[in-house]
Amino acid sequence: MMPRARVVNAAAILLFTGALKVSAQADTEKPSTTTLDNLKTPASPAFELLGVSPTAIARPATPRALATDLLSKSARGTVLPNNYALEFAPYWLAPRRTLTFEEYVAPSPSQSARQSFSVSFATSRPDTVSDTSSTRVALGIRVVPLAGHASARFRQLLASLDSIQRTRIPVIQKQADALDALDAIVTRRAVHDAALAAATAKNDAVAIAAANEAIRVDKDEADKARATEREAQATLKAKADSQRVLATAMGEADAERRGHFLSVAGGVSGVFPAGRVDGSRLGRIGVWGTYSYRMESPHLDVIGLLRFLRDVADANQNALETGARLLWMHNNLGISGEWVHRNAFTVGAPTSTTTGTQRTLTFASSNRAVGIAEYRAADALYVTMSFGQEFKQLGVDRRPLVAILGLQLLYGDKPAVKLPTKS
Amino acid sequence: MLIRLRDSYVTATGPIHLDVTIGSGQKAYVEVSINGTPVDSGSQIVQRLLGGGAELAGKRLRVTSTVTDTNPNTNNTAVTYVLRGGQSNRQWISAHDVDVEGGTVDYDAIFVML
Repeated sequence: MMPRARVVNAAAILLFTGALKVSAQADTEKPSTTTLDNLKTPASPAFELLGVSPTAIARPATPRALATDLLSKSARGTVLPNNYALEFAPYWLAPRRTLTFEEYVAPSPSQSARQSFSVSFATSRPDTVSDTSSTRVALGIRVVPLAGHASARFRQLLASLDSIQRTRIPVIQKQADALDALDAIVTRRAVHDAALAAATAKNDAVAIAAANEAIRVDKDEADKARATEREAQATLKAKADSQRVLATAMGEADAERRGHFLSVAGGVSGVFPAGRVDGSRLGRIGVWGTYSYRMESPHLDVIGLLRFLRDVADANQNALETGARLLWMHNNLGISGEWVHRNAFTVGAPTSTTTGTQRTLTFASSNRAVGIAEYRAADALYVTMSFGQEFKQLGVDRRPLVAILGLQLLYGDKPAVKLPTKS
Repeated sequence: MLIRLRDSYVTATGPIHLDVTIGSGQKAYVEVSINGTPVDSGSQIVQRLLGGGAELAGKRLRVTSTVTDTNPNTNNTAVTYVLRGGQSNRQWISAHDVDVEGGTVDYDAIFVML
């Protein structure tokens, strides 16, 4: 949809049309809230399965940091850590000294899968006071075999960075030469000092004068070298500041990649009564897949999604859902159509038959199809209009109508929360 | 930050080739010069023919690189130099982690060809 400002959503005024009457009649049955965005492959499947949004996530960047974090949080592996969130990318735990910029920015599917593979792990115990309450644990993985290609803006920024980097080379050499000269002077100083000591011991006035002269000449040379080094360092620092700005902008522009994207994730959660393995049971299983294709001009997005959720304790959560969206954007206007197909299922209790234990599987399918128009009237003002049909609800023959006209007002120029940095 | 590497390489009669690889997926610019004359440049140097061993002996090979941390997954920067065709193939690795996101590390290597 339209790009959101990085600000807090201040107010959303939803004006329902008369057509909403149909929905209101069915309000006693809580409508399904599955939208296309709910089906997207989550960045951290483990957090998604537990339904938590941890504020503190351990993101170790080295094997040592990973081991230290796990051991400290689990009392050296003896207990399950409580309310703990961990996320790491195994590929980046080791130095990648042969991975070139080109391979990283335009990866092959196998390289993309390797560098994007991430593991998430989380534990949650709602009641942190009682030791007898259950601990929920989830483990998830995510991989992106297709990551699109760099946008035109990214390539422009890359060319600018390349241009500055080229101009650094003669300055780096100047600085390095000055440092080499200083090193040579330090080495020579020991020789001069030894010569001076020997001449002083022999009381050789000529040799003493020669050694002192050599020391003086070197001191002058050292002063010049230090001045050259300081000047080069100042020039390089100024260039480095510009490079940092470009590198940051490249990071932001990298989020606007174009082309084919494919991300796949999966996870499983379990429940551990009183934090112990005895009596543990399966909680939820989730599988996600998202394929999308994004064009630069015209700005067109096509997206297809799949989500499978199985919840052992809550049958209402069991579903296999597929969805698709087509989005076209032109200037401040975005028009999209989205469709979600939901196959809710329940798994019956096991029954014994002559051929063994069997379970029954019951499906109920339903669709949601909505058209959305969104217009950015001003920098912080969006007008949204949605029209379509919601999922069919239990006990109601007619499908609820979606008809929403909304205004969204955003405020603030900067993020209120500082973004986390790499550890 | 400037990382300097100073070493020598013993040539033989055959042609000498140079590889310079910038790792960790970082954006870099590399310039190769012999006795102060640039002979190649780019984001990396692949199988660059520097000349015959006898021709290179006594000369100074300089590889100057600047690496900017454009990869949000790591702060590591690394330059790997490989010289082939002399008395033996040799590899050198220089690496450094940037202190700040988007930081730059400079590398300057000089090999005296013997």
